[in-house]
Amino acid sequence: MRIRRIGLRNYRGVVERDVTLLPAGSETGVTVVEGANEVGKTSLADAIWHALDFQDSSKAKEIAALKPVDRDVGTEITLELECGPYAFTYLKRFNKDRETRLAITAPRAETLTGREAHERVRSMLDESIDVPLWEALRVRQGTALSQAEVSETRGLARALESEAGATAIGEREADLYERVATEFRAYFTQTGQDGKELKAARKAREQAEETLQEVEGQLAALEEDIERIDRLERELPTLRGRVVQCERTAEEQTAELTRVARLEQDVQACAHAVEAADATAEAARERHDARLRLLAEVEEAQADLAELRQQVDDDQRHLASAVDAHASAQMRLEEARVAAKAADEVAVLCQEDLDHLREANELADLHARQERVAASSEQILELQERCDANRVDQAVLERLRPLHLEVEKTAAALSAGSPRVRLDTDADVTLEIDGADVAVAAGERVEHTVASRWSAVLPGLGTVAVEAGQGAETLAREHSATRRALSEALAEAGVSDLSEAERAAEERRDAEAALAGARGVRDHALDGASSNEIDERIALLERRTADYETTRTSELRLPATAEDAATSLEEAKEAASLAARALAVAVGEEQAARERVQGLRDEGQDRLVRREVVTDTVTRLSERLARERQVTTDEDLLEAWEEAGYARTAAYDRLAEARKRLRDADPEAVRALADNAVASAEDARRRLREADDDLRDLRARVEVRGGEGLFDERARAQAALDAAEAHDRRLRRRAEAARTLKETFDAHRDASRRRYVGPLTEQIVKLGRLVNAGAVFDVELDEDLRIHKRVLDGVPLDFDALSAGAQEQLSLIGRVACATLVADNGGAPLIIDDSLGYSDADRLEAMGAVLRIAGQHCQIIVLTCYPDRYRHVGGATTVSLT
Amino acid sequence: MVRFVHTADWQLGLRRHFLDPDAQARFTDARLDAVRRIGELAEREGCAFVTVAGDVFEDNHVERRVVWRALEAMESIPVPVYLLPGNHDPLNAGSIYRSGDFSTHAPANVTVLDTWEPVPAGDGVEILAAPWSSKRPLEDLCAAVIDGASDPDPGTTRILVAHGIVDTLSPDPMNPAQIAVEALDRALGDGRVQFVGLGDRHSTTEVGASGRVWYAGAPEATGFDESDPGNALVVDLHGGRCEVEAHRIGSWRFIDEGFALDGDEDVDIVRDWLARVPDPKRAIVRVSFVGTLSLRGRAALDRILDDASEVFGALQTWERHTDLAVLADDADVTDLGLAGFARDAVDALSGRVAEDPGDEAAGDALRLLHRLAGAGG
Repeated sequence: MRIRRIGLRNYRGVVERDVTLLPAGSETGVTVVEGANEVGKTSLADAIWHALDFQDSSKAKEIAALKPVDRDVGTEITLELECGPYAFTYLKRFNKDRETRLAITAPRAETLTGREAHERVRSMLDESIDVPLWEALRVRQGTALSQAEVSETRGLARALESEAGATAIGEREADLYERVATEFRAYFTQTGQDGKELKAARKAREQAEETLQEVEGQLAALEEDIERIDRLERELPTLRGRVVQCERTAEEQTAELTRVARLEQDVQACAHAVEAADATAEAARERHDARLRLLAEVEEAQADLAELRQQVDDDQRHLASAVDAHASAQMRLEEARVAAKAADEVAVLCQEDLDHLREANELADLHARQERVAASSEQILELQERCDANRVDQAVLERLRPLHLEVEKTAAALSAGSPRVRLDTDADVTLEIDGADVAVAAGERVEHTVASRWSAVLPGLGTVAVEAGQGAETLAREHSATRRALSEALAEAGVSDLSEAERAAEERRDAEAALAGARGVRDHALDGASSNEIDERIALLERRTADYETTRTSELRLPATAEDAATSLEEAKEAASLAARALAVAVGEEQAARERVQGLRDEGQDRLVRREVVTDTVTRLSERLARERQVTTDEDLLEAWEEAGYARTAAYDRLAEARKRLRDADPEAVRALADNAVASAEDARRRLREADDDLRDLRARVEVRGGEGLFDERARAQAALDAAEAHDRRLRRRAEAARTLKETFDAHRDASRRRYVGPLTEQIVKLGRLVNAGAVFDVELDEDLRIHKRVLDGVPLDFDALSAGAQEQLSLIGRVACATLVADNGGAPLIIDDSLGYSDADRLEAMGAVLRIAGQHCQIIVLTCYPDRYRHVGGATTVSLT
Repeated sequence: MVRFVHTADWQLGLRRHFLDPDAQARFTDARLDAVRRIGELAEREGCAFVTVAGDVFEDNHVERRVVWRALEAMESIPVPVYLLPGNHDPLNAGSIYRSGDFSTHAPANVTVLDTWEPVPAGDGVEILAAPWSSKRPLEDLCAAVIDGASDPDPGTTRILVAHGIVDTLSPDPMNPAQIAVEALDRALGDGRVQFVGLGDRHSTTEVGASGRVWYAGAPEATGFDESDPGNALVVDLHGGRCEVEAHRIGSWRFIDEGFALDGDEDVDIVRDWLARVPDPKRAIVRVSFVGTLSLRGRAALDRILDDASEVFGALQTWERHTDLAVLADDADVTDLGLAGFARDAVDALSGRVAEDPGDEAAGDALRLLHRLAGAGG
């Protein structure tokens, strides 16, 4: 294939561009398209694929992005191509005013439009070139370092196959492989798992199995029902027989039960009879006992009465002796009482004596105190007078002292601050000074401090006046003020000056001290009382002592002193105490004797009463006994009791007998058997009923289900399963065939691919030697036909470990090798968008040679902004874009 | 003397899974037609009645439609028809004969032999029946029925109608229900019965040496393992003699055929054989192959079978009995005209088959390749 010309309009930033890539007449050759960045070189390459790959109606983002941003216009691409026998011009406009137009010029002229045109172009390309290989070989901008993915492309394989000397792989093999792969994909997923159809077949088979199982289950259930009906029908007579039998047994057992009930009633009746006999016997015994009790009571009462009579006699004797004892106790009490009274009187007298003597002592003391009070009161009066006369006490003195000091101070200040007049006279003279005449002796000096004004008439001479001036006058005023204050204070104190005041103060202090002493003496003598009180007390005591002495009548002598009286009092009190204790004892003894007498009297009275009562009782009981005996004799009672006992024993025997009869009948067993028989009958009836019900239900069910054609349903389900299984089996077998075929094909294709490695390696090495001149250059290819290792002078290095320049060169050489290999057989232009950016000048030159060689075999289009890189490509056509 | 039709094993409602729906419909219709033909036979041969010795129906649970249509067909029989419940249609609680449908639709000439008491069937003739009341009887019903019945009046002809396998044909001591031939012979010998009409075996078969014990066989074939199906018997009892004559009734056939193929040219034998099968619409054919074919031969055989399957009632390949190796010969490979790795792959697959003719995957893969390559032209 050859691209002669590309025209672009409104393609990205390109408004309009028309580039001739291969001049008419040339079939191969290198075209270097140079131009600055952004000028649209890459657009040129992209446009080829856009025009070929996309319908004009495409809404792909990639296509929409081709529209110029600033104008609402369609993007137009025109290609002039030759491939195989075809030559044509192809126009495609995207996005706006969409259009596809194809003008074929060879082998015969033809014009197509729209989708038809698009598809025609695709088919012409597919027919003449290996499109995937072509796309794989393209060097896109920025991909220069990566190798082309060529292993899956058919054209290369065909070329290599031919190079390898094997039979050429034709369309046929390639198509067949495609079909094998398609067949495989019809059954399996990419990863070899079961595909949709296989899964569906298996699912269908499983579902058919399930359906069959379900129907078979229903059939089995139906058969089960039928068998149950048969079974129940066989069982029914047995069940009916059992009902009859059970009911008969129940009847028999019920009769037995009635007999037992009668025996139970017998027992009940005998038990009642026993109770009655018991009661009768008890009553007879009770009556007999009552008679015995009455007899005992009579005897007891008579014994009581005899004893009481004896006791009353004893009581009389005891009382007489107690009365005697009481009389003598009374006598002893009287004597003790007299003695106690006498002792008390002595003690009172002694107490009175002591009181009297103590009052006499107090009276003497009071007299002495009265004298001391009188003396000290006199002294106090005198001292008080003295104090009252002297007004200068310590406070007055304290007031005077600062005043005096103030006077002194102002005087000093006046004398210092006033003019002083000194007048020395030579002769005696009388002077009138300040209006007063003053006689001055010769030689005497008159001195004066002028407080304010001073004048002296010098006889005959005139008057001398001195004025003190302002300051001196002030001082003088202060001084006179202080003096006035002092003299007023002195006058008030009644003294003439300070020293006198100090003396007066001292005298007053002495008088006050003496006054305090005299008052202390008087207060001590008064001892809290007033003088009058003392006087009254003295008068009282004098009267009482006098009275006592006159009124005391006892023959006992009055003690001399209070101490003696106290001693006597103690002795008298002791004697009185002893007498009182003796009296108390006598009182107690008299009371005890009296109480005993009273006690005996009461006791005797009680006994008399009791004797009366017991006498009554004896009478009453005797009468009652006689009465009762008239009704029933003691013998009759005894006999009745014994007879009742016999009757009771007989009743007990009858009861025991009835019980034994009942026990022998075994009522529990009879009852249990009867219950059981009734229950069994009920059970049998119930089972029969259930069987009937079951049978009815089952028959109804079988009638319905039996008519549903389950047999046919199963047959259909079985058929469906068979079909599903067969389908699954067949499908699986076909799938396995496809898998086996695909795997076999793959294995052999891989093997043959390994054979392709040889020719491609050879081609690469041939070209690579140009770049690595002087060295032993070799490469190793992997199964995907990619350069795996480079060997330079025997040193192998992984492709990935090579320098960027070497990678770039090898990648390009690989592409060139592929392109040249397929050039004779459906080759296509090798488009290189900006490569060799990493290569040095020497390598560039060598690469130029490589491209030139390649250009001899096919069309090569180089897009670059560095035309220098490619200036070594001999015979290249250069197209400049501006 | 009496003359009657003895038949059995109608198996009405029978389904065969290898039949497609159309063929199944024809197959079903054929069984009903057989019933009508039995009626025609009875009329033609002057028979007094028809006895059906069990398995009238394939199953107690067939669709009710089957029952209705069967009764309709029986109605067309101009003489009384006596139906015996067999092991397929026993007289249990689910029995067709007890169903409402049956009693509602049964025509007047149809009697179900559901009792052990002798059933009068015209002047001086009684039918003694041994109906199955469950699918698994626990005794020899024939012997039990014979022992249980009172002796026939002198001059009365008594026909025993029973169903089941006889001990002489398939001795199985574990089967308590198998019919003792000796007991039958004894009963025949002492005149308690004059004829024993048996069902169960689908091939017409005489039992014992008396000439009076017969399996009628199915009037319409049911499977591959039957040697002489498709008949009904006309029995003529008169004086001391018994004459039994089989009449063809059935129209369907089951055919098993094995082929030895030792080369592609043998495929023609198969084609010719298939072409010669008469009335293929009513033929159910099972073929099996042993031998070796080339890819082309195998493809040809497949085509022949494909084409024939349209013509036959059913045409199956019996895989279990088929052992057919497919080898790619030089011509096959040359025909493909392949080169390179494709050629290598074909050679490898051919090699696998040559080494192991049982390598199904390789054989299939080769055939697939052949098809793909062929389709590719």
